[in-house]
Amino acid sequence: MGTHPTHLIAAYADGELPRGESDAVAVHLEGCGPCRRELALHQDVRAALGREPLPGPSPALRVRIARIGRAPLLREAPARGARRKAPRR
Amino acid sequence: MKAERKHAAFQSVTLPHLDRLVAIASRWGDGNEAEDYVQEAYVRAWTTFHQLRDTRAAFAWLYRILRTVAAERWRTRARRQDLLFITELEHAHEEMVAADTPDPLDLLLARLDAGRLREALREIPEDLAEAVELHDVHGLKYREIAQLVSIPLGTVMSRISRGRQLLAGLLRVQDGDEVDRLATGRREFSAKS
Repeated sequence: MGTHPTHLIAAYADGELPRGESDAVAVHLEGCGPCRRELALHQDVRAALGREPLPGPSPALRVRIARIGRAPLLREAPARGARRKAPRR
Repeated sequence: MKAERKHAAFQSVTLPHLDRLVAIASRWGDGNEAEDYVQEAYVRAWTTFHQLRDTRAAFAWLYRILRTVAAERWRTRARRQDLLFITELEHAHEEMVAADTPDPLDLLLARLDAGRLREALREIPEDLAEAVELHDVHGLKYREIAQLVSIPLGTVMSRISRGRQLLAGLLRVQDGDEVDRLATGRREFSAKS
């Protein structure tokens, strides 16, 4: 591998390269400082992103989601003692 | 009764993915906005639930709906990146790799507040941020991302590579800005005293 395999280093770091390509990148890395720094960069970003806290759904959203698909509630009956419209005469 | 069964099935298929979808949506909007995206996605999912043939593919199905919702809302917004800024990030990344430091990001990351790196994903192009986030934050394999986003495996590879490079460049640029800001502050302070 004569030129720098920069485009393969992320996939190498993630274990996503086929064996042959992975071996070739490994050999190149032994003698190439810039590519080792590129590798460290990918490993660092991946590890740091993996540690980031993730927001979760609020209880209110859980309730709203749980209501999706429920038939709309019928209009509630008026409370006892509530004033009713007087019938027209 | 039939409606009850459908509702129960919908809940059991979709609710296990709620946490992850909210986390994903949080890159497109803060707090309530992210939750609005997710709620809208669930409403649409309910109306098309009959189209989901394989419940094992529920996450991919929900993700695509959520992505569509976010994209529709985004159409009205100006995208934040310009070409000049991306070039600046690329240059910063190249400098880091060229510098004679074994681990150029180590110190920058150590100084970073929790949550800041995920926020930085908002500053790079969406297609790159999406691939990086799905892999690094949510642990999907390249093959899974390719299927989810409907792109070739090689494109996933290049998006993750370029996305991380731009993130690294961004950290360096922002760190430089911070150092400049502190230095200016110090100069102003000593000029006053």
